Amino acid sequence: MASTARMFDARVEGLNRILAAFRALPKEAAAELRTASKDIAERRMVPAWRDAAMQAGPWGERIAGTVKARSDRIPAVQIGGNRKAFSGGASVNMVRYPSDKGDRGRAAKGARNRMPTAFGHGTDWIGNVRDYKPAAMKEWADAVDRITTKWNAHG
Amino acid sequence: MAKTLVVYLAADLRKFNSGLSQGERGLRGFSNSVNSIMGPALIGATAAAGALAVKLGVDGVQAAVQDEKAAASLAQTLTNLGLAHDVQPVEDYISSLERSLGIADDELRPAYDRLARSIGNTQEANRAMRLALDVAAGSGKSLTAVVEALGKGYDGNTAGLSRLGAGIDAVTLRSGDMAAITQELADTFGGQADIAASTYEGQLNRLRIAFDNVTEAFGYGFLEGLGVADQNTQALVDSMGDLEAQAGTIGDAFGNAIPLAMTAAATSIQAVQALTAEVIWTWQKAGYALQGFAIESQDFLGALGDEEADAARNAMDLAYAADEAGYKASIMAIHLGDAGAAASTASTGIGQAGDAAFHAGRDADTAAGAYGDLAGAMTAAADASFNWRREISGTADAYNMAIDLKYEAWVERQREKEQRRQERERERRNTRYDPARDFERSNDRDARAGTRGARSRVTAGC
Repeated sequence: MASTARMFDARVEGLNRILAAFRALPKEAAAELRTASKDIAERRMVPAWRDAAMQAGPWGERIAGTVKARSDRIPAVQIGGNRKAFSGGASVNMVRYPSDKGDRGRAAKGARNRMPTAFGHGTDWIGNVRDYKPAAMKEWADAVDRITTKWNAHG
Repeated sequence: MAKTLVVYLAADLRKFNSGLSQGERGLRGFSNSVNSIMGPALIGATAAAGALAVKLGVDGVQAAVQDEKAAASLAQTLTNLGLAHDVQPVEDYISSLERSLGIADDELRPAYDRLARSIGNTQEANRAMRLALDVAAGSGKSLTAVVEALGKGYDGNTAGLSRLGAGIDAVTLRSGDMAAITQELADTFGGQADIAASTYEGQLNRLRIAFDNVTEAFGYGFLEGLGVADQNTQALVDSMGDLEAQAGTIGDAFGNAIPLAMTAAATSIQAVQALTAEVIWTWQKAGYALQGFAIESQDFLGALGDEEADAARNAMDLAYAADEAGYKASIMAIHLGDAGAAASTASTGIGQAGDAAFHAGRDADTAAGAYGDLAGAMTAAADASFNWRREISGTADAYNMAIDLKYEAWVERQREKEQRRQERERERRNTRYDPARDFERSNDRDARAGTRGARSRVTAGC
């Protein structure tokens, strides 16, 4: 079973082909892309997600504290953790979904597992994080252009 | 089970299509710019365009400088002949010849200069220029040789005209009547230049000239933009010179495309079609390169002032125009049908690789199956061996147990026997002597033994 839940901001046709083409370049090119992607994630995605997480009710501050950038060829952030973060023994992973959806979604009326009433109807903080995408995508595309131009010229 | 959430900026459309219900609000149009710039097939072209931009920046300036020098030389000649008012019309005429016939202006200007000096008026020089082009195309002689012969003919020496192979009447030649001579040449070679320009070779020449003009124009715009900031010109030239090292690869590729096209023009229509498209594609890449270089230049020149910024914007407009022209030319290349041949060749190679991979995979599956069967057999053998050992050990245990049981039974019997003996011993010690009882016991014993000696009771006691 996967240890992470994944979410994607945008669909890009042919993205896998672009990333696969990087195998034709030296390893340093992929490393440079990872560095650039992590930099984009730290500057654009992390602040946006932290601000959004602060809207997650009483649990927002703890959730925002777990937002950090990942090292990957595509900018990505990671939210959550399994350590005990609340006095009752819950971790951030446990409260992330309920704080967002509340008694909607999986825990809607009629569901076998009911959501604790403390979460109410949820705050929908995950669904409202979108403002950084255009600039981040443009910046990432420019980084890819720059790296491929540089390494193709060297190669 | 609660999981950590990972949010990716983007994902491939096909693979993660089912998992995007939560994050679908986003950039749907972004794939256009990514695909047009960054597709795997174009990564090389992007790099090529980047390097080509550097080369254009250097060559464009140089081409503009040389072109300006040649234009200035012709203008001075016309001015000296009292034809200064015709400088621009002559330039326009030369430009029209360049575009229509695919002959570089740096070849046309010296020729026109030679004719103008001998003829003295631009109207007649224009006709002579056209005639020289037809004679050169029809006879195979160089334009320079034809112009020189015509020029000398206008100067009074018609000997060179006889060596053009035009079949001019000797009487006419000796007469020195250039009107008659040129009429005879026109009758023989008229229209040859246009015919040559309409061939594939001519089309390629025209494309090449057009691209060179773009390079020159870029250089002109660039130099004009730098004109008021002369003190920065050297710095920029130096920096561009430093970048020349990166331009060699693409310069070679571009340089190979043109001569290759010129050579293949005489072989087959299909080859020419493919190479024409290659040249056009190179031209289109140049458009991208101009775009990129203009952007780079704008960033650099932005710090110099408004005039320089305007010059950079003009250069960018030129780059867009070149890009547009390249795009239209690429449409023409598509109509020529070159893509199918290349795709067919590529797909054949890819198909062969795919077949090899398929066979390798199938062999791997077969081998995996055999290994699996072997592993299964070994496992079964191990299980059988284990069961056999277990049976053996069970039997041994049973045997040992049986021995133990027998031994315990024997020990038990021995103990019972000992017990009975001890009881009899105790009973004997505790019993007093009684002769009658002993006598009867001895009689009974003897009776049992079947021996004589049984004594009567009367004998014993009566």
